[in-house]
Amino acid sequence: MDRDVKIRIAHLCFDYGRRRVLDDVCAEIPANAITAIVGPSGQGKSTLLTCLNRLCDAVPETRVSGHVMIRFQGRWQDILAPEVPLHWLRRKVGMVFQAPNPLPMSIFKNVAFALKLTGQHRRPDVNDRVVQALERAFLWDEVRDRLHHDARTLSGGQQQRLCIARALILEPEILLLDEPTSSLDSQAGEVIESLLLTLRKRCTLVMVSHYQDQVRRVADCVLQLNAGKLIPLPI
Amino acid sequence: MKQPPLDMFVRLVSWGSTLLLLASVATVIGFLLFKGYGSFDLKLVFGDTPPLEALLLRRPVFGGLFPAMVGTLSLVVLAISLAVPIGLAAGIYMAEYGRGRIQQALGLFFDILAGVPSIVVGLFGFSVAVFLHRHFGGRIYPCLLISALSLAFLVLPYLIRTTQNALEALPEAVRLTAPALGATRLQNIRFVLLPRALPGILSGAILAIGRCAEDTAVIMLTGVVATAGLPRSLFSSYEALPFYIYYISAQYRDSAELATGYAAALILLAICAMLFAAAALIKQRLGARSHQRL
Amino acid sequence: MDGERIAQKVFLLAAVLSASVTVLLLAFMVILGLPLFQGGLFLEILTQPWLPGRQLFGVWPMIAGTLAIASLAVAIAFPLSLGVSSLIAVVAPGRIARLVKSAVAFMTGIPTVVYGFVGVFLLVPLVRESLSRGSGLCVLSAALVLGILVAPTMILFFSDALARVPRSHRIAAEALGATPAQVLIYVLIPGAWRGIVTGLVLSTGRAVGDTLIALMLAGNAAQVPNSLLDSARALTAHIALVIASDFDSLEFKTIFACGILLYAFTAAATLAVRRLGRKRTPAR
Repeated sequence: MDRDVKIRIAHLCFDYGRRRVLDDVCAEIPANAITAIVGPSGQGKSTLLTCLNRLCDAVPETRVSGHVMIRFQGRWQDILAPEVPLHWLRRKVGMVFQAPNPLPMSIFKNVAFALKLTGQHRRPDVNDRVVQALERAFLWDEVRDRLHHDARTLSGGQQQRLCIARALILEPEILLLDEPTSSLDSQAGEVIESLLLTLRKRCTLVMVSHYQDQVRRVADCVLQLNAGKLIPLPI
Repeated sequence: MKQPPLDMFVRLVSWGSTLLLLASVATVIGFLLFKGYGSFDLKLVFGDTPPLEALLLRRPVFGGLFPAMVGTLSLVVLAISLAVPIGLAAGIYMAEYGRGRIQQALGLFFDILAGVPSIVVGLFGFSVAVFLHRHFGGRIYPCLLISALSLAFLVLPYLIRTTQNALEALPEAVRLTAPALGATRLQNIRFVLLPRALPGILSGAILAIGRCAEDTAVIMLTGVVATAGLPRSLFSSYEALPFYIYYISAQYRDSAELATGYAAALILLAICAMLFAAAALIKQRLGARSHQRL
Repeated sequence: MDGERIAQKVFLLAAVLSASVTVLLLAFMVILGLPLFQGGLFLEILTQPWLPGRQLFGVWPMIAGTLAIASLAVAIAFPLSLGVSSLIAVVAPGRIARLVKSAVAFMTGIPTVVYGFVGVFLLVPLVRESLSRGSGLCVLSAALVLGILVAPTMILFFSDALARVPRSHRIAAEALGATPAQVLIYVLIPGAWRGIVTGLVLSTGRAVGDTLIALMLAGNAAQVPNSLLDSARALTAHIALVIASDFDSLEFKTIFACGILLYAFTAAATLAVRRLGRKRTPAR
């Protein structure tokens, strides 16, 4: 592979209680591409994804070992090291979930929320950055007249794009997506797919997907998991 | 891992307040243990009367906690046996029969009653005694029965709500099994729903016992006195542990009497702790069982 | 009539009887305190000082005493409870949180009179000696102990409300890089404010309605307290103290005014909480 490598996973194991969910996973994920993680359900796809932003830490009685190296601005860093500040990591590695999860506040505040977390919400360019994020998420035209409505009044597909906009506003280097279209109808799913294709130039995308045809349409690279092990795929 | 200042602050405040709260409880318990431990012996309970004679009620006890303990016990037994049947029946009505507006209105009354301060419930009991005294001959004064009745009013809304909640928490599948086999509503309640809801109801009843045992405000208005010996009848005055503790704190004559106050406080604390543990145990068993079902 | 019908009637009767206690409570106080409601006397009693020597039997000092003791107790318990429930919700979840929660639940079972007793023999001397003024029986002593007494109830309400905030909201914020404190302040507390207000209101009701702590620790002087170290008498304590006087005296009748006030306050609190609970935010 001649592309730049963004994430290098080495001997990653993950135990939930006494169950081994990920077993010695080694993989390389290319930069500025869409990598799809596929495989039967319950085989650790989402777990692998949450190891990349350490959201897996929140679950009690789990154990992680191995290394996940990520190259941030040219420097490799093992994000599983205990001294890595989680909030810093998660601002660099955004995530979008299976079911859209807008916070109970207005559309504008949802997108600006991440800026609030980083203490930038009083800067004069907040409006511009919110608009920019909404544009990048293909949502601006649909919500420009109702930025201050409750986010939960949006349709499912719009909510999911709102969540993508919310993740994009911090300009993350990596965006994780956990079956981002599975709770939506096919039309709303298509909009998201074409959106993801345009995001490749800004960041590295890692996506869990159930749908073979979706993977064929958007993925540049595929990792197949089975029973916690990575199966080499001929592409 | 270096933390942002806001997180340092939140950690500091939450650990600080937790330690402060736990330390104050530990101080309360430790202080009682330290001061009261030494005076624990049979004499504390029975005074100078031989224990067997006292237990068989052959001889009265002076200067011991025995009359207060018996008083509290009879008070609790009376109050609970008055409150549980009514509370249970009303709770069943709320969960299984009550619908719409009537149920809502009843619920509102129970909620208000649950919030009424116990001294006001005591005042009600006192007023009832006065009312009976005036209209039905002069023999009725504040007494054991009036106190028990007032305490029953105090815990009634609590019993109703726990019964109702325990019944309403049963899964739909359990609820429909017996009717599908042709059981009537009453049979379903009696043979399926109540047995299944029993742990919840029971732990609620045990906590109600604790409230009856510890309440002081109600009984000090309705017939408890500092020295009465064993209660002779439902219509006599009586002694009780919590009132004894209160009385000693204000009126103790010497250090020996004060020491019995510490010991009485320890005993009451131990009783309430045991009741709490029993209720928690039953609830935990219930939790474990419903976990298996999932 | 068959058994089914009889049973239903019995259950209904039990419910109606229990509910009627709520009404009878108020009715008895109003009827027995009836002379109070004639010729503006009730208003006089609520606003006048308590000076039996001059035939003035106003309960205003007791209202002020209750307000002082209860509001100070709540002011002590509120930050404490918010801190403890934050610990349970975000700072130390898992085993420590479970341990703290069961300790707090246990605290709700500690008899009030035990707190009062320890207060009399441990806190009051401490207050007396360290502030070298008065007897130590004062608003401050009562409020400190009452604060510790109502805190567990408050904590259970708060941590339940915090735990009921949907997990998805919490995860959304965590995935955006929110620190635990930010999750607490920006997501959990705004999402749980109804439960927090409910806990606050009901705990205030408990603080106002508690008798023994004020009776044992506040000194019971029937005067409006001017400082934390002044002795004060709560409405509840007033009832307990005056109950022994002559039934037909005006002095005695004032305890019904106190009872009606306490009843009205706690009933209003209950109504407010029910209103708060009924309004629901739109479903997620």
